[in-house]
Amino acid sequence: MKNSKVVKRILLFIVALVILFSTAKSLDLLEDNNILEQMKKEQNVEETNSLNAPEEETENLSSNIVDNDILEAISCENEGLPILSQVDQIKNDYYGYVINSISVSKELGDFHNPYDILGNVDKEGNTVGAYSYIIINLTIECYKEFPELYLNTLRIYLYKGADLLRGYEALTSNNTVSMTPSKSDMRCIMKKGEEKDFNIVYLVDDEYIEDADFYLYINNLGASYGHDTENKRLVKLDTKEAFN
Amino acid sequence: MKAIYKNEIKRAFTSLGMKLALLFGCGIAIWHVISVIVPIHKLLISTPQIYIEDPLYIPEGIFNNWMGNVLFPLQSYIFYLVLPLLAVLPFGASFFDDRKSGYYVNVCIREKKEVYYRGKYFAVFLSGGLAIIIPLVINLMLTSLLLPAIYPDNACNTTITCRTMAYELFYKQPWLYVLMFLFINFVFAGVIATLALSYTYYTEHKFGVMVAPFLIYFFLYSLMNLLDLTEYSPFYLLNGGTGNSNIISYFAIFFMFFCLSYLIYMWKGKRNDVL
Repeated sequence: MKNSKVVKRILLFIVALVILFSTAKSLDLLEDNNILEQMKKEQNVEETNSLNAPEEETENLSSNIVDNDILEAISCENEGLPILSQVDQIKNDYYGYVINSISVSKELGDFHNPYDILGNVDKEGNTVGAYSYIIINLTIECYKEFPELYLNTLRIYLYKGADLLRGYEALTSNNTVSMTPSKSDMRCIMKKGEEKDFNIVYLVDDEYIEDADFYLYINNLGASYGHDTENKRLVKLDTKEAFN
Repeated sequence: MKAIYKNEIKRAFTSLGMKLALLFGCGIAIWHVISVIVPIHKLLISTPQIYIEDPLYIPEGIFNNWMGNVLFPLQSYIFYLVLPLLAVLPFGASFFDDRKSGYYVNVCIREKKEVYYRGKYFAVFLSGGLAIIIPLVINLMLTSLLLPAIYPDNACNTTITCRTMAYELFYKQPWLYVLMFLFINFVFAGVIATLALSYTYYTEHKFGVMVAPFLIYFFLYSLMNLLDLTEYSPFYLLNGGTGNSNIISYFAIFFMFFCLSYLIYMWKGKRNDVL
């Protein structure tokens, strides 16, 4: 009788512990974001700033450290995904991505007219008010017979430093292989080894365009459950040329 | 034998617990309709013609919005969270009561012990399953009154993807998908309710019997959350809109619950003396 009570208490203790840790995890308390760690980080940044040496090398080093801190913070915010640059090889188990160009425009190109989807676009398809189209031209190669590719699973995040300003979903695209009976021009089916060029269009507030850093977030499963972190990618876009 | 089964089922369905479980479950189902489905319905009937004519316009339908296929609204979340409590409430603690009151002894001296045990298990399973699917069916019926039964379009559904179990069924035969998840909810709620039977041998408190299935359910959810495998916890598996990708996980969890309930309950029952 005594033994069974001890076993029961041990089991209850384990259950309570697991529930407690799970709650802590959901509240994001298990990451290395404890107060000591944060204070250490802040101290490091302060030390880096206080160096303020006149030598150019030291300045570069300092700005690199700050840049790295920003990228680390952004990475932490996005499930710890490493941040790739546009020239890196961007691929996951399903697709390979090559970003060819990024452009900004107020006029509708060769796309489905997104009039009346989000507003801020007139009947001719040109943006109205302080909005512009950001068009990402990219080539996607299919590595695996992943039955469906949704182009709107490629989102852009706008950051100022490490602060997220906004995220945007794709508005439209020039996807010409749209499937029937689906009405979506975001969906297409590619065969293994097939390569296609796409223009994906985002409607972005003008106020962010000059200041923000653009990141392309790739998650082929969209908002569905399951982590699939190994196939998610975060790419810092080189927008300097496009916006200047 | 038949009389025992009939009697146990009658007791299960006329119990106060069953009424309370249905009242609470149906309350959540109706609350979901009022605060989620009715606004969608209003939006739908007030949609301007220009939107309807747009080739990209996809109206909201039953299959993406009824409670058994979406976990985001608070009502669905609460329903699936308290599911083990609702399943146990009708008849889960009856074995505990029978043992305490001596009813168990009275039956077992007139009929084979195994028959009583099996009858009890069957009645608890049935009452637990029905206490869960009746509110879901009511929610589905009310949703059907307000939203069209159009085929779900993958452009407006972000949780059921090509990696989801039976996703083709969802898009091609959505009613079958709904029936499949009603069946899954029924058998899981049934087997979860029977967990209380096997725990009866290990406690002297009725409250413990009522809460044990919920504790196991929530423990699994927390454990899976810690292991980054939340999609395999019964909490997510039971809802049709959570993008569950692995059919084996259903069998594994059901088998585990069945072993924890039926095998322990029958094995301990055989060893127990009636008098």
